[in-house]
Amino acid sequence: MNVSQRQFKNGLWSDSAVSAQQDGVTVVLGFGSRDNISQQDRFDEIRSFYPSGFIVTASTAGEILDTHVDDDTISLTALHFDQAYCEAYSQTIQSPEETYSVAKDIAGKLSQQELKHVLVFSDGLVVNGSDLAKGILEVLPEKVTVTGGMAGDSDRFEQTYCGLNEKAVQNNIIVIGLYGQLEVTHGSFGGWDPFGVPRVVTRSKGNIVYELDHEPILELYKKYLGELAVQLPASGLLFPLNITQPGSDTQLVRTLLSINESEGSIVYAGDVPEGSTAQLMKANFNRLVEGAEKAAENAHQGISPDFALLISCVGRKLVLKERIEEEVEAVKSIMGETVHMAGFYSYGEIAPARSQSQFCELHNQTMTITTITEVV
Amino acid sequence: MNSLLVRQVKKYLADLDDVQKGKLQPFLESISNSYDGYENDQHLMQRSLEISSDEMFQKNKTLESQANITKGAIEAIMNSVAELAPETYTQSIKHDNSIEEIARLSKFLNDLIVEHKKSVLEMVRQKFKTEQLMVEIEKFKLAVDNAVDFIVFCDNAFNVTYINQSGMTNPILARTMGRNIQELDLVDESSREVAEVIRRIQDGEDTFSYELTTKPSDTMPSFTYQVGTTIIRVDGRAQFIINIARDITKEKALEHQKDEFVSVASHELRTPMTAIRGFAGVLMNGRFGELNEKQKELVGKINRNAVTLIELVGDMLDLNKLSAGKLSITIGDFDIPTLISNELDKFQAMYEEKGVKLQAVLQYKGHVAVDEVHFARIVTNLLSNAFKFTEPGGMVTISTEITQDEQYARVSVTDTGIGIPHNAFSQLFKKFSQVDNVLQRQVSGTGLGLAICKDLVENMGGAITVQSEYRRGSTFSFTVPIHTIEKQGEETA
Repeated sequence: MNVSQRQFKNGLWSDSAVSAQQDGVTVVLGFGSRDNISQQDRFDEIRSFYPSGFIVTASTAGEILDTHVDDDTISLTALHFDQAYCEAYSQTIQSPEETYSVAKDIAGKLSQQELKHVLVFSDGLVVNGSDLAKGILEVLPEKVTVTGGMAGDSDRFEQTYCGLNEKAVQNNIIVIGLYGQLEVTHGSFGGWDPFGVPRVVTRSKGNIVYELDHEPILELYKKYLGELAVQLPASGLLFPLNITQPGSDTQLVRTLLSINESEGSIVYAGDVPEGSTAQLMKANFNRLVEGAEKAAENAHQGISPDFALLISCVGRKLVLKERIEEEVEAVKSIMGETVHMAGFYSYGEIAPARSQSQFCELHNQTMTITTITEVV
Repeated sequence: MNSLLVRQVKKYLADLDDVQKGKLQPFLESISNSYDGYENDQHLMQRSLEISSDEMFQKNKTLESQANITKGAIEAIMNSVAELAPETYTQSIKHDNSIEEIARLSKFLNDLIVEHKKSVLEMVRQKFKTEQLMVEIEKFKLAVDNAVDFIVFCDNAFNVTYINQSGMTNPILARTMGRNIQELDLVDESSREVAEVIRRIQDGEDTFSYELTTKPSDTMPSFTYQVGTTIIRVDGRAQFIINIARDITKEKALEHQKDEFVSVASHELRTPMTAIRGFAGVLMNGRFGELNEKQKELVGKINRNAVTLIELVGDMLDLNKLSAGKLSITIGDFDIPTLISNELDKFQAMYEEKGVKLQAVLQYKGHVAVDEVHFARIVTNLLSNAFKFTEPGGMVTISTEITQDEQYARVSVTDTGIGIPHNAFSQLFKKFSQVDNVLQRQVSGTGLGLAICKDLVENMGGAITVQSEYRRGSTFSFTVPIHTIEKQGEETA
């Protein structure tokens, strides 16, 4: 397996670190700012670099290329498998309610023979992340793992894009099946701590929460944010929600995506069922970086992979700020110097709840790592 | 620029010139942003912790208050439970609101609820049974109310508590409502009857059948009732009395008229029949000249028919007296072999002449308590019937034995005659019944003999029965009480 990488920055493409094998590339992953990645010119340029192979693009809240985190760039990674191969499909949705059925449809198109792993990328604002994970799981065999991320739009939360073999568009869902002799591992960890009084989700619908303990949730956030309330929804990333569903011990983290002033409600990246117990969470620099290390340790499993895909949550970038590269460097220190790394800051991560589990779901505020190694 | 950074720059970079400072400006701005960001984060964190702390405090207060309310509620429940629970439970309550204590309380209350549900279910069942019972009682009440017979309920002192609709139509009965039955103005015999019933009730008897007749008055005629009385007892003590009565005044009057007629008719018939027989005897004696053979034959027939008629009239009169209870009966102590041999002597000659053997087999030879005349009449009647229905060459046996309970002597007359069909048994002891057969047409008889025997035997306290096989023979048996001295002798023996 060969990996080549480029970066688009300040209007120019860099040369790849190694000689690009322009032909025979299997899949190209391009993560960039919304303004860059949605350009036809950019897509045309990428296609000119790689005439064959699947070109997958997604808008971000920050681009990762090796140990660097940048904004307003495009991080481009081309994977060339010797014997492994890919299939990829995409479809747009008109409303969040269509997420489940569309996810089922396109995942159902993937051949299941020799299928090892599925990468999924989707719109970050319209797609319901919980339904996306459920729909894909519905049709895939149990042994097939699934990871991926939801596209971002910096801290603007206005428009997100992703594309397959064409210019990136809104409301899109893309699945890429990886086949053949591949070793794919994954790891996901947060590092946020719940604090304060547990509250009950007394009114919600899907991923929209109206009330906690019969009080409007938006008022709760404004109380905690104080002066920063004017920067909602972005400032809301500082206080994700830790939820425990009724009758379950599993805890999930949910990131705020948007607010509705008139209803006093908040839209989260995934479902928050009524009756769940919810607690606000806070971040700690060291624990976030340690969380990234833990994710890397879970994914590493003793061998240095060829390629590591890092999908980290926009909320972590907001907290770590200029120290954001510390978490990426922490991952590199675990993975090894020879590994090629790329990725982006997302509005939601798709990964199994536990490293050994195949049951994937939507996560927020995590560093999610997928490693790919071709076994020859 | 961040105030801390300004101080640091002043302190550590005071020597730099403007150009150098200009080059460092982007870097310093970046550092200033980091300082500001850090301070803001600290401020936000501090704020969050303060708000969170305050919320926790409020929550704790609420929980404490709820806990106190819960504690109070549990105490109240415990106190209520103490009213219901056995002492063993209430004494063991720890009042510590521990989970174990609450679990015990919960179990106790659950058990109580289960018991309560069972009780309610039982009550519902009982209510249903009661309702069913009420329906049956209503049916019974309806039947009693609308019965044709008079139904009178009394308490255990014979005070009348209920009379049904039929009863209320009878003027005499209707007046007894709420009063004592013994206040009825009864004829002396009926008063004695009532006194006897009361005595027997006290002796423990429960069912009675008797007649009551009221005395006539200026405004009311006499009534006669056939009464059936049943005593209802609880734990052996009479609780109330059910009387079912039928007005037989008219039937009694008719019977009296019939008896009168029979008596008068019989007496009126007897006189001319005796005269006919007398005159026939005179003619037979030849007082008015010798009769030729034909004349003798005819006069003989006149005589025999007169005798038969006289016997019939006599039997009818006797039967009438028996029905009215007017035939006198005198019980005495008699030696049974003597009684029987007296009768055998009367029949020996006629049996020998017919060629029928007559014998006696007396297993019991002791004393009996009978009316001598009636006993003789019964034996005579049975031997006479056996003689009539046994062909020459046959045999008639009269035998005696003691019954199994050793209270009675059984006297049996067995013949080898024509026998009696089984379907005729029920008619045998009724008036004017004779089994219709060839031989019967040749024998005489009033058809009253067995009916009279039955009445005579029952008046002496016995019973009469028959066994027979058609064309093989018959056995007529009757029982009479063994004399009391015999019984006393057996008891003391």
